[in-house]
Amino acid sequence: MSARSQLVRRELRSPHARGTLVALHADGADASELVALCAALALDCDVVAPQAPRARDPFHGSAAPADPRWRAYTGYSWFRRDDLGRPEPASFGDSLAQLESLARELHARGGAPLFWLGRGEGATLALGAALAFPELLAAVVALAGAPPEIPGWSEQRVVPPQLPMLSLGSDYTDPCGAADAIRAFLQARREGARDGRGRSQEAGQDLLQTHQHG
Amino acid sequence: MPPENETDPARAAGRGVSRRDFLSLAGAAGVTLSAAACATATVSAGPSGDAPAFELETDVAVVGSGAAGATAALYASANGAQVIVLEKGPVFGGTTAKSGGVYWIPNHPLERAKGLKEPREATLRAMCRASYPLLFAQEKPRYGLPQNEYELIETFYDRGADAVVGLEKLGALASMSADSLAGPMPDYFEPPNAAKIVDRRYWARKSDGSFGLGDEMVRQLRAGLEARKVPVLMGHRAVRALVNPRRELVGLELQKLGGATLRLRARRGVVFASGGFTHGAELVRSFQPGPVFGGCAVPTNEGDFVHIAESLGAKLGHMPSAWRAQIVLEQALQFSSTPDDVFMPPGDSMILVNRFGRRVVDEKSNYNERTRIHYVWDPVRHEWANLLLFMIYDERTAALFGGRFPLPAPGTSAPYVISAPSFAALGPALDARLAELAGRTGGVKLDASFAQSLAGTLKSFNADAARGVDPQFLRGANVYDRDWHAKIWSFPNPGTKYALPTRNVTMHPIQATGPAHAIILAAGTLDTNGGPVIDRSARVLDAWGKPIPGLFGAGNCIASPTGPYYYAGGGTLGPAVTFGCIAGEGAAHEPLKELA
Repeated sequence: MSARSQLVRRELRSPHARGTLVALHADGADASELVALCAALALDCDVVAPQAPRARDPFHGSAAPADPRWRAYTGYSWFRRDDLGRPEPASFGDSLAQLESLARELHARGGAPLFWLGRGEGATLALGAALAFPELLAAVVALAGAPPEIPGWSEQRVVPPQLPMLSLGSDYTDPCGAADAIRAFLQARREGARDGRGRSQEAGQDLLQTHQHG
Repeated sequence: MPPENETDPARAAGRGVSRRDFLSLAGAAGVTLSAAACATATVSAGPSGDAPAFELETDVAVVGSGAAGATAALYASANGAQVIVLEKGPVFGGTTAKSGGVYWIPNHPLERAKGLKEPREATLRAMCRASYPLLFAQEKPRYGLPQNEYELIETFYDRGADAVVGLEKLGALASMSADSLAGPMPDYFEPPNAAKIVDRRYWARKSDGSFGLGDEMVRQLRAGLEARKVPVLMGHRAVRALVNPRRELVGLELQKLGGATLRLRARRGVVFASGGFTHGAELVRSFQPGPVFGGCAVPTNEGDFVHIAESLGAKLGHMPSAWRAQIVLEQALQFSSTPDDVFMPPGDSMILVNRFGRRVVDEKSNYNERTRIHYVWDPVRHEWANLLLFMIYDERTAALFGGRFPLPAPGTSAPYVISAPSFAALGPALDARLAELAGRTGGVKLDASFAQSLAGTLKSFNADAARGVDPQFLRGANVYDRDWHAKIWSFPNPGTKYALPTRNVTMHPIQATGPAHAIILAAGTLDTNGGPVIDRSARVLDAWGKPIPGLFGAGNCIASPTGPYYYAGGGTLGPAVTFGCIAGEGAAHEPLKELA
């Protein structure tokens, strides 16, 4: 029995979609956070933006959204963290398993290739996906998020060299500002997938750092 | 529930995500301790009189870092003891850190400051009645309760406020009334039409005066421990009690994340505050009154203390009990710890029905009580009649209350929502989903009468909703139902075309036309609350009712001092803090235990 991913999500279907952009929001945001960025990319992709499983307000928005008393508790989070800021393994593993199920569902419905875009904790999970099930991903863009550090797991895995990855600096706070660079990277990957090129490093802006993994 | 995806061929090939691997990295063993595995070990001085080897030594060891454990450690330290806190998982704060962080405390000075006078006898009487309705007798001594049961409730009443105020004096937890959110909210045992609501809920106060939830409570408690230089050892699981030849507890054998074993000497005492057994599958099967499909307790809550205390001869109590909540079945089956609970199903044009298409409960009654309806046994069909309940609602509730868990916010979709073009078509859609889940539910299907019966249920609910009364289940008749629905769990989205009902705010007729929606709910826990029995001094008792020397307990790992009843929001953390305080003080003043 294969498990259906249980993540709440926003979806934007494109009539001429050539692939799917999977957008993973940052901690404290929701499924809407990266939708504008995805639209700005204009990539002829379906957009699937899953929402992290855990509401930071356990009372579920029991007050007007703008109520300043809830500032510290808006949005949703993907996983808990330990004292050193590393992902807590059980909650991280739960979210990663949900994303793997989602990836398999998208492949099954003909949504491939899957381009993964994550911000903050969403970026950490996108990088975790690249470690855990790289065969389901066509490219990964990580905005302002560190690779997952989970002793006993992460150091035993490497991202296959043929998986294109783009990491933006951790001081980067306006995801929409990165649209041009991300578009160029993903378009090149889509063409590159056709002519067999691997990852490239042409994004030369100061803002961007392309990380080599593996 | 075991992780579902372990049989996936991709896992067998070593690829993909193994949730079991992540669970073990998180300190959850998956394999629970058994009484045999953690039989006590007797330690004594060697033949030449050498002291046996211990890697760690302290006066008081506290097992668990949630509200009960942190409070115990703070009070033990404040009473002059050297203290070490042991946390099994990689994150400080246990389930408290995930929680709303509300603690229910009767007769707090902040209550008196509001001009409310706490009638001690009346409140104690209400607590005793709520906890033990079968034993309660107004005219009898102790209201008919056995000595220890009464003393625990009385102690909670008398010492709770001191425990919380004391934490503030220690600089370890600033409190404020939780009525700052939505005004005073009723206790769960409040009479149906209480004239005046006394709110006894408190939560953490941040330095800027705003409130904080469980994360903030835990942050402050931890800062308090750091200020007192109390070490906290993360990733250390207590696996065995060490006793001297007189059977006094003198230390613990510990297992570190990764496997190394070490021994800790506790010269005065050990306080267990290690959480319940929600994630100890064997204990749940053995002791709970029916299936528990998951819970929001941290995954390390596997019932370790039950086995360790059994090895010391402890008496167990309230093992069939838990702090219960409904959970979304399909989500619970896939998460090691449920991200959210259905504290109150949101919506007014919404009902819960069983597989016969019938309502079985006041949907707005409190989560702990409401969830118990899942455990109704049908002796003829040999099945749990309400094992699964179906939360059925219309477009009105979807739009007006979307975003209140488990309803997805407008513009999003949730895989666990089963939709159909009409209410008549909902049955086949539900049956198709149930067939997918059959391997995890014992094969529950809708009864053949479901469609016809649901039509009748909708008709009768709609007639009742139009009148604003629910003669069958009294939905909305209680102040609890109305206030918690309107102010918290069904806070309406602005800007929809729908108006709120006026006669009974919890009930509105369900639209005759589709689309129709359903979510499958099952029984879960916040955590279990049975375990070793303590006395009013938080000392763990043996089978004969005598304290086990050196052993104390507080929080969800012990038999709940308030019995199976959840007095109000904060009904778990209030007793946890109170008996954590008493346990910490008691352990600090225990006589030194010799090894020989």
